[in-house]
Amino acid sequence: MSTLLRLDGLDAGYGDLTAVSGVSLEVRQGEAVALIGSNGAGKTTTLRAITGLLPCRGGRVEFAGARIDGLGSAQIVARGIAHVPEGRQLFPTLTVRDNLELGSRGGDRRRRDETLESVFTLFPRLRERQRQLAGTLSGGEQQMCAIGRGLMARPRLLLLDEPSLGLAPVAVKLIFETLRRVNDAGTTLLLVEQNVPRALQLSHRGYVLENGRIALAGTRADLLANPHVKQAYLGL
Amino acid sequence: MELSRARALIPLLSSTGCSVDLTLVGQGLISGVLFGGVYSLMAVGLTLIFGVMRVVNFAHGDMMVWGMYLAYLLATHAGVDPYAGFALCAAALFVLGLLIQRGLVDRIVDAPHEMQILLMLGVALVLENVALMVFGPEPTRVTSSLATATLWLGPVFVDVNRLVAFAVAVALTLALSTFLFRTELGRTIRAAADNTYGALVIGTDVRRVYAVAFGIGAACVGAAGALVSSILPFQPPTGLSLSVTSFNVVIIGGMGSLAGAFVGGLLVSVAESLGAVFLKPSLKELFSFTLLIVILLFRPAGLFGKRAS
Repeated sequence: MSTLLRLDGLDAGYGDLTAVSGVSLEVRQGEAVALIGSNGAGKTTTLRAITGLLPCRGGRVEFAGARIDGLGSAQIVARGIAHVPEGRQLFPTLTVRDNLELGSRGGDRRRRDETLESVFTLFPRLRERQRQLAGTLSGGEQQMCAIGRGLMARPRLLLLDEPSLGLAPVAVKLIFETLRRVNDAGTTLLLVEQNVPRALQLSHRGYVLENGRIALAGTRADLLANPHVKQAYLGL
Repeated sequence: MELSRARALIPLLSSTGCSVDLTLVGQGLISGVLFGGVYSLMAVGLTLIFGVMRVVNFAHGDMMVWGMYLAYLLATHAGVDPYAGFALCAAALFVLGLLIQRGLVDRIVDAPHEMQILLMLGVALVLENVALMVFGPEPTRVTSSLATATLWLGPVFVDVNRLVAFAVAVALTLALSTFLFRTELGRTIRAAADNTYGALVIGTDVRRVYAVAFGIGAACVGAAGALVSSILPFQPPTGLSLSVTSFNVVIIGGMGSLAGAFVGGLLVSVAESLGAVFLKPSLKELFSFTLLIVILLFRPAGLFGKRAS
């Protein structure tokens, strides 16, 4: 499997604060990779630095063999990385369909309609609710809409920031089952989660971020067997 | 005549010492509504800029005065009637808005409000004083072939220039709303207004959206300026009162709401016009600001505004 995304010594932060330093990780084509850690460990910062929403202060970000740090978020999305942000960040006064269509890049309407159809197949609930305003959806439906909007860009890599946050267990189960199907269909995933059991269940490999640095890395089996992970994140 | 008898029978507000007859009230209502179209157009521009960028354009009225002076230049040097020249004024103001956005506003979009206010007041001062240097302080009015034409509707008359200004202003407002609700770029603008961070996340070129929105907002007020340039006498300091009126309309309608700006424009204009009938023309703003206070008391987010969440 070839490397799709590579972070090499990434530094990023806000103002005087350094949120992540020296983060190196890689995501291979077709993989699902989890980035886990507690609140404030730098997970969201890492994702934001990858998609250019936050400037990288040091290190490199490579995507599909080309360096992308320093590019704007519009260019990075155009290269095939879609970001499903924390808090979903939908357009509440626009319809579900508008929200989804806005996620599509490039002006080809037929291609957009095809992609929309595949998103509706993945989330039938969104098809039912397509004319409803996104702000009126339940939390789980909003998360589906956010993931659907990300998929509308037909990304090679989908970044997901806390897709389970604030959702009922049933909704979490549905979201993770759908993400598994998305991954099986060939989209590479990089998943940030506090729900560590769920995240590791979906992922092939994982990284543990602590205080802005990578503390541990390994396959799912390695991490599940690791005493530190067990104690700190799985509550075993 | 039936109506003149009714007029004699119903003196209104006799307690204020002046009796006002129904014809005058009808006249006030008509001119109020007609002039309201222009207020709506001004406010639509302001609310679009605010809705998308969360920046209050304190130079709005001064941009409008430039629209008026451009109409004046077109009329005096090229013989273009302002009711045809408004399109050129709108185009010129679009470019001016785009340049102001790219050169200045872009730098303070994420700054605290007090910094934005300082910058926009600075832009207002520069626009006003450049107008003063170029055109001088005397009041000006553009002559239009329509300016003296009137239509009689029974006992009340309608100024043709006000009627045309109203029709064009409403048409432009409808065109803008069609653009925002029926085109891809319009939808992107609405999305950025709804959630700027969300728009950035999906890879929207938000700077371009901002520039277009500011340009359109300025174009609205440029057209509005041209449309009233043969009705209102103007001079460079007129900009301030036009800005204040625009803010009044936008706050009454609800900040960021297009429908609110439209309805608010008609309401404020009718209030001012009736104020001029019942009290005296110099006190007309008493009515529009009373309306503002009443709306703020009972609907603090404005008629069409959503409560801040």
